[in-house]
Amino acid sequence: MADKQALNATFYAFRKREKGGVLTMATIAYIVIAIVIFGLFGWLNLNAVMDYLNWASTMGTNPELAMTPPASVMALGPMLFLMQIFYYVIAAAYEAACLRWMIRGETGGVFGFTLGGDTWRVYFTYWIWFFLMIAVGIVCFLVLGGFAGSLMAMGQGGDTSAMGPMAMILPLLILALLLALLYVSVRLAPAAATSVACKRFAFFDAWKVTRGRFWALLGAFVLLYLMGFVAYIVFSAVAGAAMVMGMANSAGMMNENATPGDMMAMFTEPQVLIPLIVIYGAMIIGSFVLMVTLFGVNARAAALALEEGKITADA
Amino acid sequence: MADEAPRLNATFFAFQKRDKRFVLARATAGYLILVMLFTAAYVAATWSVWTGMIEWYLGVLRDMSAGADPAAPPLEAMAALAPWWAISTIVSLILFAAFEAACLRWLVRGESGGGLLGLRFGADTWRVFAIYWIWVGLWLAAIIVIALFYLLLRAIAGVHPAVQWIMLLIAALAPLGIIALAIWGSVRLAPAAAVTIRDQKLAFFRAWGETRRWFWPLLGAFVIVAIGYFVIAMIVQQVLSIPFNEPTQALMADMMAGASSEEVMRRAIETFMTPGFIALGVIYLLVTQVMSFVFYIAYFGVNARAALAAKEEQAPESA
Repeated sequence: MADKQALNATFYAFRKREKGGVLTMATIAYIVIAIVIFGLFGWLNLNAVMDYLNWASTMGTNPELAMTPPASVMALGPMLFLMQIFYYVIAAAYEAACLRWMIRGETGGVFGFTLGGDTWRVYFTYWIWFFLMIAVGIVCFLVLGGFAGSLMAMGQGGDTSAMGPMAMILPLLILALLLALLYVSVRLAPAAATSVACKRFAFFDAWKVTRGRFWALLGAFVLLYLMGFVAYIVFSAVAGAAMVMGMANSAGMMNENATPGDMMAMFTEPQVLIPLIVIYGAMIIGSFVLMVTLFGVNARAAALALEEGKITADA
Repeated sequence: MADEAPRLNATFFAFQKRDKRFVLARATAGYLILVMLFTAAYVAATWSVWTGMIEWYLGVLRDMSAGADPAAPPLEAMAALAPWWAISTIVSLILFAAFEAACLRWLVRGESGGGLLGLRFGADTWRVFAIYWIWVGLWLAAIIVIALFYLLLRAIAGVHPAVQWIMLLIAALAPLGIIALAIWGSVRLAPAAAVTIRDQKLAFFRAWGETRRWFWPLLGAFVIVAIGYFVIAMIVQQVLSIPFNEPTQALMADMMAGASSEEVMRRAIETFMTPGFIALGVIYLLVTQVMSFVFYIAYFGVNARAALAAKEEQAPESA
């Protein structure tokens, strides 16, 4: 096995490669497709959307009507579910496009988007994550439920001598669960990247990929999430300030007789709306930058594991 | 460090191309034919009891619509059905064993044909049937052991207050360990039927030794098969429920607006008892049945692959 190399994964996504703009074009294509999906959903269900808007606008004036949305809106459930399914296929195609480029240096398809094996592997990875979350929930429920049951049994028995030690163990138990969750999440984080690197579905091979690299990966993730968090706070503060300044002139409209319509009119004043669009647009771009950077961390880990022979790619 | 096991590639083993086609589909059709024949015979034999049950159920609906107290269930009719339930459970297990044996015979030994579309009631079927009962016995034994374990914990906790909190902690964490053990044991023994078909003799516990190095690949394959089935079933269910959803929501809105139960029932019958909705219901039933059989066959395939891989591994050693 080759000597262990430094991971240097934090900004791997933005390293210079032989071709420029691949990730940018994939991201733009993803945003356009997402807008089209949501637009199409709204257009296909225009009646329900209009019913919803009418219902929402009467919420402030007729509280009785606000109890349940109209039947057409409630009936949207399966359509919403299917849209989500389709949306995640597109999200998987986007992630697969980014990972394919960063790991294998391959482009192709429409701005990198294909419905090939990589996309379905990444898509299935999302489902495995979803079910792992449920499994984690069950484990937490069992541990904490068992603990609560033990305490109750003790209370009913009238003997409270063991209550003290048990009460001390509870926070330790929660901490241990959280740490275990963090550990497993980091160890399996490059699951999608591993599948793309191996050219087969290899979710749990991510465990091999991250062997000996837990701290380096955790450091990269913590640094990136911290940067994202700080940027979010700054953007939110700027958005809040812009809103307050923009609304200063319209504050007179707000009184006890103000309707939801008045509120809506105030938010759509150009001096409020334009800065908000600019700031939230910048936040969306920032979130994409963060997402691609995170893909880059996972891609680097998988590419390195491939180099070191920890994992092997199918032909 | 133990040497690493070669790749199992078991997940879609059942669907790999083989020299003969539609063997598994024919076995499935044979199984469905037998199940339908048995269901018809069962309903015919118990019809008189069922009429009483159906009359009671309709009476309950009528009573509830009229706001009256529902009648008590017909206990005599239910008691009369009890032996039939026992018989139907055993016959259903025999039929499923014949189906599993037919699939495994093809996947493991490459044998097909004979009997009804491949379903035979020979030694293979009875061995698989016996394996189902061993599973039942094992689960019952596990339940008894768990109960004894908790009784023991309780007894130890009562000995001295100092050990009470340790016992309580063990009791709180034990379910996690029990589930992990159950998963581990079930996966290790899962290919028992496939190993039995391979060796042509009852070899339930041989699976334990043969899956020693395959636990994680086998668990992964089962998880992928189960999640794949769940995801596809959920998507199909949502697609097929779209036409039902709006009328159902309208009926719900009527109910919330204060419409009587009789009125809601009448509207529901008017809405759903149409050729279009009945056809959709039939399509739904067909699609869900096909999906569940694909799931069963994929599951048999994982076990068959494990049994074959173990044999491949043993071959050089025995040579």
